[in-house]
This record gives sequence, C-alpha cells and structure tokens, in this order.
Amino acid sequence: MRELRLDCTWPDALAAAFAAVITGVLLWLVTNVAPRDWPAPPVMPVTVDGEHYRVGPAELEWLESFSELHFTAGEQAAREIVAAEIDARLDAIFADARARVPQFADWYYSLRGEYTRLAMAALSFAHLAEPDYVARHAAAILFPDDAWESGLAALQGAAGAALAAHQERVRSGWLAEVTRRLSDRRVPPPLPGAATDAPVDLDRLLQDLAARERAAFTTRVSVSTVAAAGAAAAGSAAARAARTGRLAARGAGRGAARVGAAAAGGATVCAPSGPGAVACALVAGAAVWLGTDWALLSLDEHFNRDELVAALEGSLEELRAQVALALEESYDRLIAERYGAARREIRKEFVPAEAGARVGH
Amino acid sequence: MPHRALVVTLALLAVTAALWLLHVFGRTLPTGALVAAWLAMTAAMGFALFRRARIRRAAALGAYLREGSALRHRFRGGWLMASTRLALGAALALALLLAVLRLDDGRAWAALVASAPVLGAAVLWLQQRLAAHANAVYLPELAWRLAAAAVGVVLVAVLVALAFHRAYPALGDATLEQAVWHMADAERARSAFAQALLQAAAAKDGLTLWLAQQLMPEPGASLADALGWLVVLGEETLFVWSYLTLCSAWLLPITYSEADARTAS
Repeated sequence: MRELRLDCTWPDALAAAFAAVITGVLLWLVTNVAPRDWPAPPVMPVTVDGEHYRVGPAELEWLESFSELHFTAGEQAAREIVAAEIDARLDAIFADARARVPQFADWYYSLRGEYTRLAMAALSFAHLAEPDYVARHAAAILFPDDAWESGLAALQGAAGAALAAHQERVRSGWLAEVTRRLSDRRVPPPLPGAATDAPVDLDRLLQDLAARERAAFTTRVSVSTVAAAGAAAAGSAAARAARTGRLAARGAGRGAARVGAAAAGGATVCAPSGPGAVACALVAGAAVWLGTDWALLSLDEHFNRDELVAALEGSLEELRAQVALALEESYDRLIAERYGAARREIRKEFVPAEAGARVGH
Repeated sequence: MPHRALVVTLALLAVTAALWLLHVFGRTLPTGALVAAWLAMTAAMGFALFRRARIRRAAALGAYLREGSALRHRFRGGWLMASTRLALGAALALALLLAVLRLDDGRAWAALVASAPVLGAAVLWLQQRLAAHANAVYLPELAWRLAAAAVGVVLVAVLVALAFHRAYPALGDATLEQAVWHMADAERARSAFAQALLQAAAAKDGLTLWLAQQLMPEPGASLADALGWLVVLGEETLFVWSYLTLCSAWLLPITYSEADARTAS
C-alpha cells in the first residue's frame, strides 16, 4: 500500500509554492481581465410605420438618396398636376367669357351703349363718375356674378385637393417602397425600459411632412395681381380692344357727322312751321341725330364688329395666358417651398444616419 | 508523490487557463481557430471517454468472464465504443466551448481555478487510499469518479448559487419575440459559425427567462419555480460534466497509464 507522503521537504515546499503562485495568478487573471468583445456592425435603428428596423450604412445611404429622389420626382409631378388643373379650370372660365363677347359687342354697337358711354365720359370728365366705365361694364358682361372670383376659388380648391391627394400618393408610395426594401431588416421593438439609440424616426418625418402639406395645400395661394384682378383685367383688355385702331376714329367721326346731320335735318323739315319752327327743329333735329347715330353705328358694326370681337377674343386669350402663368408661378413657389421643406426635413432626420455611414466606412 | 501531485495540479490549471483564454479571445477568433479548438477538445474528450469506458468494461468482464476467455478480448471495446464516445465527446466539447465563451462571471471562473488543485489532490489521495481495496484495473477510474463526483457536486452547487444571485433582464412586459431576439442580438463574434451558436444559446436563455418570468412572476415555491431551477441545474451539470471530462483527458497520461497497459493486454 502506497501512502501519501505529507512530510514536507524543500522540493515539496517549492512545488507547492509554485502551484499556489500559479493558482493565485490565474485567480487574479480570471477575476480582473475582461473578455475581448467583437464590435457590433454599425447599424442604425429606423422606425417606419410603427415597425422597427436595423439598417447598415449602405442601406441608410440608399434610404436617404431614395427619399430625396422620390420627393423630388413628386415635386415635378405636382407641378404637372397643377398645370393641368389650371389649364382645365381656366379653359372653362374663359370659354364662358368668350361666349359673352357677342353680348358685349351688341351693347357696344347699340344706341344705349353709345349714349351711356358718352354720358359716363361726360360725368367722369366732371368728376361725377368713376372713369373706365367701359372696362367695368365689359368685366360685368364677360364675367358676370363674380364668376371670376368663384372660378378662381374653385381652381384653387381643386388644385389644393389634387396636390394633397398627390402628396398622399407620394407618401404612400415612398412608404411602400421603403417598407419593401427594409422588410428583411425588421426587428422587434426595444425591450420595455431599455436604453436604445435615438432612431431615424421616419414616422415623425412623415407626420411633419403631412402636417406641413395639409396646411399648405388647403390654404389658397397668394396669386399675382394679374390673376387676382381677373375680371377687372379682362374689362381693361376689352376696353383697350374697343379703343384701338380705327374704332376710336370711327367714334370721333360719328360725333362730327351726327352734329351736321341734325342741324341740316332740323332746318329742312321745320322751315315752313312758323312760330313752332324752333320746337319742330328741336324734335326733328333730335330724330335726325338719333337716326344718323343709329345708321352710323350700324355701319360701324357692319364693318368693324368682327374686328372688335377678334380683338376681344385675342385680349381674353392673352389675359388667360398671363393668368395661367401667374397661377403656375404662384403654385411653383408654393410647391418648391413645401418640397424644399420636405427635403430639409429628410436631411435633418438623416443626420444621425450620415454619422452612421461615416462609422461604417 | 508530491511532484506527481504538482504535475497533476499544473495540468488541471493548464486546462482551466486554456479554457479561460478561449473565453477571453474566443469572440475575436476566426472560425478556423474555433473549429480547431473544438476538434482538439473533441479528440481529447472522446479519447478519455473511450479509455475510461474500456477500463469499466474490463472491470465488468473480469467479474463475469473467466481469465483467458476469448470473449474478454472480443468485448473489450473497439470501433463501436470509440465512435460512440467520440460522438459524445464532440457534443460535450461543443457544449463546453459555448459555455466557456458565454461564462462572463469572474466568480465562476475563480471556482473553476480553485477546483483544479483540489481535484488533482483528491484524485491522487483517493488512488492511494483505495489502492488496498479496489481492483488495480479499476482503481484509476474509481478514484477519478469519486473525486470528480465530489468536486463536481460542489462546483455545480457553487455555479447554481451564483446563477441564483445573478441579475437577469426583466422580460415580464416583453413579448416572446422581443425577449428571444434581444437576447440573441446581444451576442457578437468574429466567426459567423460561433456567432450563430452563441445566438442560438442566447435565444434559448431568452426563451427560458421569458417563460420563467411569465409563468412565475414572483419567486416562490411553486412547481414551475422548481422546474425553472431544474433547467439551470441541468445546464450547470452539463457544463461541469464536460469540464471534468476534459480534465480527465489531461490526467490520462498521468493516472491511467498503468490501467491502460493492463486493459490493452
């Protein structure tokens, strides 16, 4: 039987001490040296539509550039939608106005119209009436019953609704593509109470964009003075058309002719009337004045009505182009402002993402 | 035999130190290095299990078969025994590798380090004490089994106690998906193979913790509570068993050589 020798010799003591030292060193090491961790890949938490994702630098760069490109394309499409809406609405407004041009021409070549113009010109000269009676009357005929204001309001309402609907499509398309692209990066929500990195919150971005655009597209744009003046501008254009070229010369010629004809007619008819000659001359002169005027107006209408109508239609077309341009510029500014704000929001939201991308590279 | 005791102690400390180095640097090692470590552990543990199984078989054959019977040679243990022990060794090596990589409690490592000299001294002391009573063929295995059982029980008790006092993430308000994913997500390793294994182990922990906190929100004496701790006990037992099996492989050339020579004849 072998026995364990417990008597301690120098070699035994040295061996025991050596084992104790080794054990002590190892104990110190295992309790003080931390294991080497392998660093986690640089990923950024992203929340979209209430879901949580973890995406790497390359996907974050794609997400940022895709968002910018998508909203830029949406901006361009918004301009086309507005332009189409403006064209359609102005076509309807100006088609009505063009249909009323003959009515204005009828009034213009009527005795009532002639004498109303003369009377209003005289009153205006005496500062008893507003100037530009023809323009105001033309506006009243071409755009009756606030047709211009209601038409413009309808245009803005329709454009706002179309832009809002388009924006909703842009947002939902963006959301669908982002969700599809990130579907294999979806992760469960963070543990309750766990400290997590601040995520790229695309829900917040979408909410901000939606709030901004709701406010923007449901309020009326501030259009230029040309578009706002509208009917008045149309009346001025009609008045200019009526005054241009030979029309004005014909009007002056009519004045000289009617005076001469009235004097000659009164003297001829009432020469044998004796004491009643003066009264007779007045009545006869007036009748001849009116007849002459009517005849000259009819002659003027016969030779110049088509030219007046064409000039009026040309003016309306010119006005329509100016109004369309003014409205498109107003909406362009609005769209550029809103989509520019959207792009700024995107860049602001992706600042942490850019930091993540730098870490990854 | 104090110098023999020193060699045994140093051998066991070397095993523990090697495992600790694997713990410290394991997450930064490439797959090749980890697979090499796993294969080395598999070979050592499979070999140790095979040798010890042959010793047990020799003892059993000595009890039932006559001296000189051809059956003793036929049933002494061959390829079948070797392959099953190698498979068991591979599974234990994988469990040990994973456990070592995830054992972050310094106190548990201190317990493993402290157990090494105790285990070596116990084996040698039992070999001397039982030499007069036990069959010489079976003596090394008997001494090892008794020493390993005693040290193993203490180690399991210490590890379970440490697990009992460890802080765990609160998963009471989390969904099962959240619990499993976030536990698995916390595991990182350079080797994709190792990371997959670590995440699988962490997912298992997440599932266990979630079930435990859902089924037994307040610690108590319920059956579910007991079952939960039985799982912890089973894990720690598996870890200690695999650790001691690896230790036995290192003790083979020192304590089993004579018995091996006899069983091989």
